[in-house]
Amino acid sequence: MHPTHSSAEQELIQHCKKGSLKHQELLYKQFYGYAMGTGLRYSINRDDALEVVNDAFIKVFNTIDSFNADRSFKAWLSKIVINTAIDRRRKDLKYQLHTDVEYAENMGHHATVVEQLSARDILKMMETLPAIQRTIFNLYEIDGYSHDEIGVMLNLPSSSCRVYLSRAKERLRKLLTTEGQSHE
Amino acid sequence: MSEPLDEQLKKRISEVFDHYEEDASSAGDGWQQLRHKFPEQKQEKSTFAWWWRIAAAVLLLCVMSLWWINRGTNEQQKKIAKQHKLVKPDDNISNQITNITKNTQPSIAKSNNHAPVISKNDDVKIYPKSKDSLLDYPKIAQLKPVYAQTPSLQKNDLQQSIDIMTQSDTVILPQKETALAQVGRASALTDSISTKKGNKPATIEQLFADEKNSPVVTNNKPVVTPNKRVVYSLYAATFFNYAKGSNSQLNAGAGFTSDIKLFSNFKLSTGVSIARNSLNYDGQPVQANVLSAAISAANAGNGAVMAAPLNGPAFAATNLPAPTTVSGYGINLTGLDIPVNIKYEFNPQKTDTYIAAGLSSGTFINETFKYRYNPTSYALNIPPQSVPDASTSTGFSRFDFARTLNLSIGMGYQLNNKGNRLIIEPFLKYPLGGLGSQQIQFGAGGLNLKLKFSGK
Repeated sequence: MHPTHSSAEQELIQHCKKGSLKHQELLYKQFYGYAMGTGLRYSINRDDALEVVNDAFIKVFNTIDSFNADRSFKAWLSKIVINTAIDRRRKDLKYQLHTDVEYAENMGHHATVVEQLSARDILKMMETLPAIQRTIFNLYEIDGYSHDEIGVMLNLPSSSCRVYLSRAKERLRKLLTTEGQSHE
Repeated sequence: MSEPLDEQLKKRISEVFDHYEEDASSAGDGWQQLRHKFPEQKQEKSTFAWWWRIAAAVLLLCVMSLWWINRGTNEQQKKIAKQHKLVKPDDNISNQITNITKNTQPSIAKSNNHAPVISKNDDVKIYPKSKDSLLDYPKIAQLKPVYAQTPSLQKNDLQQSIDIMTQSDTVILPQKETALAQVGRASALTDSISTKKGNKPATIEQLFADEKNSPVVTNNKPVVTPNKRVVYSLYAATFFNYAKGSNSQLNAGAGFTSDIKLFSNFKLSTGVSIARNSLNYDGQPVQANVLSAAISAANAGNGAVMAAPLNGPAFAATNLPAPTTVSGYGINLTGLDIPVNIKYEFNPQKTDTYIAAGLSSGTFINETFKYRYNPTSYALNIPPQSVPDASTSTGFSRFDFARTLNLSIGMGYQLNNKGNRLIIEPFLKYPLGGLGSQQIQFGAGGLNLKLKFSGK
């Protein structure tokens, strides 16, 4: 059994498998924050993220029978949210115009050092990246997908994924350095 | 140099978003949005499947009914044709005469062609078409009454002819009689038919032609339904409304219909009716728009109740939002219904038995929603306070086009000799979509009592 699985969580999942709307609501509310955290990283704004999260939860409720209780529910949910977000923006990602964004418009006053970055700051930084770079950065660096997996997901050669990731990281470094200097 | 920064950033992002939280109200709002899609989507899917099942069942029923009716009609036609066969020159009598003459004229009997054969009596043409023989004599005996009812024939003559034939059968069966005797019987038969000269037909063909042209006297009752192009009916309906989550409610309505003849068995039935529909639900509304209307009604009706704790020190201290929960609600809808149905009448000349299917459109003259609320606590340290019921009313908010499927069957009974009839019509109205301002899905099932003014 997965160590992060509490008995309450297991019970909740069991009730959801039986189709209890009340328990589905509880599950939704319990994991809403986590799902939004993931959804926001892959979405263009909060409304978009909420739609991604809701669509993901509908998939969760419809397929929860197939969920293996030995696995981490969070990891399963995260995967569904990511796939939903990518499906939703697949067209955008494919025809993404790789316009260069030199600087963030407004980073906020708290992003002086990495350790102090808030969710809002991070999202603002992410917004400065082209969607394809942001997605690949999230998939590879944060969510642990390999370049081959990302290539399959986005229908791209893995070499292209490496290039996009490299550009994304370079841009983020530049932003952090610039912001760090402006607050010194 | 860049590697530590990357690692640092990666670690920070994971840290922040793994424990990302939003305030509780956001999750509640998110759940409400999800509910627009999640349960309804599932329900629509099953509704769609049910709709197809019902349509398939109705279609199957119609096809089977048509087949059964056609089968019945064909059998009747066959019976009538069989009866009339006897009075045609190429049927049993001719055949039997032919069989008799066969025995006397071997050369003719051997020929298999179906050309008319002239018997010894020049007035009689014989058509050896059927292979029936006098061995079938029970058929002839069975058909005696047909001759008896034929006005253009002399009963005695025919009776005599048939008697001769049936008598001859008993003799022929052993096939031992002489050919001369058979010829004698054949002559007797033909003579018996052809002896009536003068005003009487000279040949069997003429005889049967006269029979064919003579008016047929039947014992059938006169046609029940006059063949009018449009027939009007008034009706009263009693029915139960049904909807998911609602208790069944008995309701009533009234209206008129006009049946416009399209084809022989098909009619277009349309009209207008007024009916009261009521639904009663327990618990929170499932539909988000109804829930939001209920909350708005509570806020509009109870401003004073809400305002006091919100501005009070207790609320300020706890800083909790004021939750209002609905304990139940009732809906009363008075609506105009315009059905357009296709009616198939099984036998419009004799009965009023039919099936009908179609769609209804309409609007509601009045829609009243009455909401009941649970006692509400506006703050943790304030005891729950009762929330008074609230209601909203509206009328003619929208026109719902083709949102209800109508299915019905009808059976008619004659009331008087003026042709007016009472139709008993069980019906079902199945919702295909939401109705009224709040898009409530509900159906109805019940009984229409129709007074049909057929007129003579």
